[in-house]
Amino acid sequence: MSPSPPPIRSFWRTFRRNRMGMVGAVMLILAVLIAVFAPALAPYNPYQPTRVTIDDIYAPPSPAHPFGTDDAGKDVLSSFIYGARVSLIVGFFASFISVVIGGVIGISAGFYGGKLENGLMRFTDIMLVIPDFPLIVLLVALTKPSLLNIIVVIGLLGWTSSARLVRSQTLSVKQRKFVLRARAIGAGNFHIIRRHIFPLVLPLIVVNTVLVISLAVLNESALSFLGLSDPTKISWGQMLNFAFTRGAMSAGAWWALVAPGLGIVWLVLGCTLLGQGLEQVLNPRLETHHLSVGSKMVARMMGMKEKPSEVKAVSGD
Amino acid sequence: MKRSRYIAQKVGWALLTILFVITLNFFLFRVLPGDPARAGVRDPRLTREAVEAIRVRFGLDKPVINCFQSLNPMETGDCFINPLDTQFFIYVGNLLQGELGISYHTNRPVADMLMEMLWNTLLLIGLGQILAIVLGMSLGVLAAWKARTAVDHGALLFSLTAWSLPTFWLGIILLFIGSSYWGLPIGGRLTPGTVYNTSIERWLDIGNHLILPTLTYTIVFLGEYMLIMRSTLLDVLSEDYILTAKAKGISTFQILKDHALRNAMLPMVTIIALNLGFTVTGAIQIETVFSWPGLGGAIFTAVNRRDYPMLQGAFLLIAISVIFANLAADLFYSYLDPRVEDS
Amino acid sequence: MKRHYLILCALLLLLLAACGGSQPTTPADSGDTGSSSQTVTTPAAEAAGPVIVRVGWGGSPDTLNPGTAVLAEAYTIFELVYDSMYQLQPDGSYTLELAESVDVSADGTVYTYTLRDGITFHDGERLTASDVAFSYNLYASQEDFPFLPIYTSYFDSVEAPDDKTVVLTLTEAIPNIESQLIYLYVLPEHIWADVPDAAEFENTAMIGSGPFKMKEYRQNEFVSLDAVKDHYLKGPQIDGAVFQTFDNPDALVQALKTGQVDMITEMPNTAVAALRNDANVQVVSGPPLSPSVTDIIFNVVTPENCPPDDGICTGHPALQDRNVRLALAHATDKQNIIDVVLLGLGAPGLTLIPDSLGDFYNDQIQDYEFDIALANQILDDAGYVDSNNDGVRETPDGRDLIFRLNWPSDSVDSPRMAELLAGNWGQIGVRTEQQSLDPDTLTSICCPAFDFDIILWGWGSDPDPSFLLSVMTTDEITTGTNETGYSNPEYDELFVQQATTLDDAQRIAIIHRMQEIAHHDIPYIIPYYAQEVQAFRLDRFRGWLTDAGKVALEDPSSLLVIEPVNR
Repeated sequence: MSPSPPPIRSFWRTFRRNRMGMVGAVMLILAVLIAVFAPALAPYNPYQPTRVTIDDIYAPPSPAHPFGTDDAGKDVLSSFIYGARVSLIVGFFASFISVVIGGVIGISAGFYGGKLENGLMRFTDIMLVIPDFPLIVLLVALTKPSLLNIIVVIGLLGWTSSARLVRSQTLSVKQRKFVLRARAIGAGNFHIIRRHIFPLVLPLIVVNTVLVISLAVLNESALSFLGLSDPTKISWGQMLNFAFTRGAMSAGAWWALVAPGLGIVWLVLGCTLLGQGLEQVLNPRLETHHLSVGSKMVARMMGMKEKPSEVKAVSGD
Repeated sequence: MKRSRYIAQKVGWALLTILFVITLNFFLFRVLPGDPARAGVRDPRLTREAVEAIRVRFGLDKPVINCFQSLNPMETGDCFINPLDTQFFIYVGNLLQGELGISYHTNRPVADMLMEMLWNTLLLIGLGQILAIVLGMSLGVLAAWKARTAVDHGALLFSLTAWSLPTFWLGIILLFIGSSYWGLPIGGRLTPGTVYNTSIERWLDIGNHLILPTLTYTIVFLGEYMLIMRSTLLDVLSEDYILTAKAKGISTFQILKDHALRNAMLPMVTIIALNLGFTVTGAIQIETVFSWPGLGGAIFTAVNRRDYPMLQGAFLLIAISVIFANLAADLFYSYLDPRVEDS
Repeated sequence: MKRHYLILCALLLLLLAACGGSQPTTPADSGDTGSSSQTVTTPAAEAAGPVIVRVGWGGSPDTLNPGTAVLAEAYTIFELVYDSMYQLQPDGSYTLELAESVDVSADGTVYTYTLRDGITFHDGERLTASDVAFSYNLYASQEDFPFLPIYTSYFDSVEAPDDKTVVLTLTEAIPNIESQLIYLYVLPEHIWADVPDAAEFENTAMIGSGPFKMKEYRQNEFVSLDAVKDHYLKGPQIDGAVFQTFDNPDALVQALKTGQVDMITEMPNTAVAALRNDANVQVVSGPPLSPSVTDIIFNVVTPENCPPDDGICTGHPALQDRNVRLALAHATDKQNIIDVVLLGLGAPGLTLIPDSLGDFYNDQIQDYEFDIALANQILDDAGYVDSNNDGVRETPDGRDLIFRLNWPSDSVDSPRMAELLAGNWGQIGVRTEQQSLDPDTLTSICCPAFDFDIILWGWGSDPDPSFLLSVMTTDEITTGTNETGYSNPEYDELFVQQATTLDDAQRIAIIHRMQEIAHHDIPYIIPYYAQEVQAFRLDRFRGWLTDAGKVALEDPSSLLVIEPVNR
């Protein structure tokens, strides 16, 4: 007797009418398609060694290399297409880690309440005020610069927003009739969480995942810029790192900078629009809230929405 | 909740957070791979004796904490030693005296170096924040006022795109445009070698150097404030009392000014404080691109040189600043928000 | 609305207070935070203002203390602000600087220097022989100076019998006293004698006797120097020089292009072509003044030589076989690496001794030519075949020829070089597992742990070949100086001989023989000798030294001779 989540069809009907959400979804799907079909789309395989000469380095766009070549004489278009893979992998997996941690903490805190909730939320608060990025830089600098480490570090530090969001959603779901009824007929805690709470919290988690992806992608590119990413894996951030450290601008090779930069903007913007659109559809009351701000913002905004009446009180004076 | 109790609680948590950060900060840096004594000095000319001298100099020869010689759990140490003679408590003790250690790279006290750079960063962040807040809020108000028109959509698209830009990427592009076409300085804080006749001239020079970094900062961060402002306002505007006001014939502008904005200020204050942690990300990138001598650039240099005391100090300073900023916002919030006194 | 602005301002004030409050203060606070209040004024500025040359660079001195400095940027400033006994010339020869003459005893152990007349420190004090003796004794006695002890290791005593005479007695006769003394800058005794801990001294006033004196120093921002026009040896034509730090290589090039600096001491090689097209800019490239090594390090340490304390020695056994290293050498396309990584600005390398070392460099050695077929043949003959047809050869006892390939994560060029090597070596059935590591981790796996297969790395040395040669001796395996674990008794023997051979020709012959041995045994592949690149603007100053043959960040000679275009 599980609660019926909004039927997928009615969801789609509403979502289709959300212009920003649709644009975001198309942008993200396009990026995913490029990543998945990279070997078919890319004219060359950037991981395959090719014979290059000195003239191939930073060669301007030409029919053979529509986006020109980079500092190692490699085809920018091919690297760009393959780069979508790594950037998306970092984004998806890092935000997956964040959301899983945040989800577990949020549901446990919201559902069990009491000391556990207090402790978990205090810990979340502490993590919330510690600035992420310097800590990410530290951790990555202290460990091996591998893709896995970057994913894990970004993931481990990005969960605070999800935890707070999920907790407040859990708190409200917990009070619903069917949950109280399930409890009354003696359902176990785990059962209630799995069958009743989780399905209702899931949409929110999905939205959060999409938003956290954009942060992870931006963080990965910033790490690459600082020279802290894995140079053997071609991501858009890594392409930019090579372009910066090996003087693309000075050589006038704007093409080595534009493609990966726009790729990042594309992906981040797509995730942001999609996340915002999903949020509007799933929670129409919020309208255009919490869109696209840093994950931390989202958390605080949600937290504050809990008691809108008091906020209004201020306006009285 | 009584205000005094609320304040005491907030201060308590801030202190606890700082304690957590200090501990985290210490242990993070002991999990180092390799020998910190050779950090940044990969030079075969460094003799074994010299390495040992450096270890002693930086106190790395002492046990990390009671029972542990190093953080390697296999390397257990003496448990019955004076705890004050372990690296951890020496570190904490030094912190209490305001000492953050000596930079591996420059051999200078980290606290001195950070102090020099803190003000430069505050100048950049402060200016950028104010501009981003003012412009972002204005744009947000405009968008909310003209909700669901072309103006709104344009502002929304601009803000979202600005937010999606990798900061360093935008910075590099602005650097080239600004220096090639507008004749703006490429980097630094002052034009070295210039003779300033008055301090106004000097400040003008600094201002000139600030234009591009501040512009980058403002573009990247204003989107966020615009979005918050717009959504908060839309929310407030959908409240019943606004309808009532409208029914009374009060103009939209009046409503915005008298009711909506006031309410919207509350979340803005919180966002601004919380955002400070986030702005550090921007500062690191912008200061590196524009060679601005601040904390962010120092972090970049320290990462490259593996200057761990410097990294440690910079992280601590930033974390504590953000914690205090949040505390300030919390206290300020309690002042704004009557529910603190009521319940 | 007004109230809301107040709110914002109040919040910002609180933030400022909070940040300020959280900042620990130290008793020794240099008070630099008040920088805003200070204005720079020069007395009687000329009508046209002082003529200042502006130099852009990517770094900044790590410290102004000559005892503890590491970076080339610091040594550049030292060269300008301090004097030492000798000056290294771009052609590799040495000339006397502080001394006008030197007298060497018959057995080569006593050097008697007579100082020039009229040398003064920037604060007006005279520089006398006792300053020299004081400085040398300080360098010899300070254990906290990490690099300098090796230059004073042959010192027996340094004395100053009178104001103009310095007597340096060595424990034994050595052939390269000049290279031992060039980095031992002479410090003012009247300042340094009162410093309690020389290693912690920040030396921001930096009183020296060189052709420039310290005006203003802001770490990671700029160094501003004033010319000492009446210098006893070489008064500059300009009034001063500033060195400005740019954290970003593109910004550095852009600063030169837009005329915000007059010279840049480094740049990405990719920028060279674009700058050469600029009529106002001249680009100069050449080998570095002091050797700068880029090496492909093979782990060849044998179990017997594995350092007993620190050794882990997990190197791939196939690398112990010279045939494998020979095949890798034949399969390394050095010219292609030079083209792609350096954009052609380099020469193929042979051994650790670079071509810029003049007579010491053995140009008779025939390098292993790039020949994939030959490399394959060598491996076939030596019994390394791909018996399971997976594209990777195996050792006779069945282990794949898969080598770990590491490089420091702060290196810009190494990832590109690793790619090219993987491509080259893949053609002879050798695979690499590539991983960049942060420099600390790399140090800890490198030496003396020998927990690696192949490392791409690099370092700098001083201009005498002695140190470069010592890196391959057996004695240095346990110290971590020997990066490869290479050990050859004949080589060790020759190393001892060259260190005390006084006759130049004889010493050169020994050193040439050592290079032959090292090249034959292939503990390293030296992919290239990279060139340094500098660029100047021609519209404000003329007389840049562009044909010296070598280019060095730390070589200040241009700054001494350039003059303003419009004077």
